[in-house]
Amino acid sequence: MTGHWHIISTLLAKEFKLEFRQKNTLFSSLLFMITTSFVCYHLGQKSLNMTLWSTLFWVIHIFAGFNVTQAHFSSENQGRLLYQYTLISPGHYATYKMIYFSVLLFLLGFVSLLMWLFLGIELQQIYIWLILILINALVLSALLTITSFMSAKLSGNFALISILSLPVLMPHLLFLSKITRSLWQNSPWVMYQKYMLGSGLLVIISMALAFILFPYLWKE
Amino acid sequence: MMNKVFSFLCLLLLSAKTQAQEPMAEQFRADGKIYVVLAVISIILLVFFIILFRLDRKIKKQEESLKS
Amino acid sequence: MKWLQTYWWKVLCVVLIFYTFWAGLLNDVPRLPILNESIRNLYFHVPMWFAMVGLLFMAFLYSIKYLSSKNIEYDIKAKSYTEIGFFMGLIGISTGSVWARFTWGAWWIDDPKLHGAAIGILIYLAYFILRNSSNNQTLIARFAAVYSIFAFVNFIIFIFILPRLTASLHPGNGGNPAFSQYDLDNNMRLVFYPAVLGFLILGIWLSSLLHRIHILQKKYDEQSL
Repeated sequence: MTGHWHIISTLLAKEFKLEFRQKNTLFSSLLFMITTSFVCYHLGQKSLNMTLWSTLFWVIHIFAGFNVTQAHFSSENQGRLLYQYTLISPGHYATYKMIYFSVLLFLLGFVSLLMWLFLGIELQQIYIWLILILINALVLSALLTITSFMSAKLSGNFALISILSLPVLMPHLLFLSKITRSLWQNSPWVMYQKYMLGSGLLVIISMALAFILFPYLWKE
Repeated sequence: MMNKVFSFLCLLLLSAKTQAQEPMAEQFRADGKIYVVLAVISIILLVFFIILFRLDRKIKKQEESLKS
Repeated sequence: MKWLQTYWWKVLCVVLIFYTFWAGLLNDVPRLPILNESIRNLYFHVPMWFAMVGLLFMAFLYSIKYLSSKNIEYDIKAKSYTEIGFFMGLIGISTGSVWARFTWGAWWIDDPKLHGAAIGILIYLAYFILRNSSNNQTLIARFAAVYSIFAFVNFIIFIFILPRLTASLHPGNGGNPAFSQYDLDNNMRLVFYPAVLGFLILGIWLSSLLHRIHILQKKYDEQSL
């Protein structure tokens, strides 16, 4: 077990170092989220009610996720992929990509939330929002590891990723919308705890499925 | 469980008593028109299944000719 | 009689479907407000959905079989089952929509089961787009199988588990009495279960025909090369 973690943490450390040196994917996605949020803030003209705001927030987060993963997989050239293929087992590759994307997406969501708080959105129970962002990041990364890998191999355009991922995301989005509605209605915990449980279950199922299925994508 | 059985029995009894209350298509059926509908549907189904069986046989013939 | 031996299930299908229509229209049904005679739709609309889920489940199984054995025939089978299942889903949605217009008052309402149905259609449309997006047969077969597995699990979660959690107009969910209580008395069960079986077998028959056509097409393509 420790051997596995050692491999994955080495890979992760390498990937993060690469990311901060190149400053490519992460910062462009960050900029994407910040600019889009700012545009929405202006278009809303200070009358964004909670429904509209939470819709926009999650939509921007999801599309930022599509952006990040697609840019990441299509910027990997053939040689590097072959090199990784010979060295790393698909299980490790899948896990490390999922953790990497989760961290990235959580950071993006966190920064976006900070920005909205700065712009004046009133939110109670911020820690629940952070948990929601984490859940969203986990589910998105599990799904997108599979679909954006497929889309990059098929040299698909942006439409392919959205078409493949969005319908499969729907159960998760349904839970998310129910929880956010309970949050801004300030319902007690007991009202929406079953949705939280359902979300958590969905996270586990998505990650398990992605982990099991990825090796089949990996074989050449 | 007992609740469900009890309410279902009540429903049955009630429905036996109040035959005229819910408007159903009695007149339509009394005129014998339902049989016309059924005949039309049967013809459609018959033609559909004949086509399906013939398709089955055609495919089988193709498979045989390809095997030889 | 040897013909009957190999084709018995197709004859069974024909018998069941005829029985469904005949008994469905002629038998007595419970007298219920609002629904009146249209409760008979239960014999046609709901079996479509059951058949669709059954066919997509077969596609799911064949996808798994393909991934573990790499035999392209399994992949073609999965594709055929998905195609016919998708078609039955379309019929299910359109029949449900028409039925809803006359009983619930609108063509489409905000209901989890309907959302699940729409999402199912979208998921499998995406599956077909994925299938057509490249010429590399083995790559596409692998990807489509993976996507089919992922999508089916999510789809099942969506249509069976979610509606139970939330309010819904559909019978059986969200506090409405389920089938067993309000309308599926023994009379209706007599027609309903054979109807499900009949449409399921019809779906399997159509899928097997489509599968054989695909195989023939493939053999012709190989021969002409």
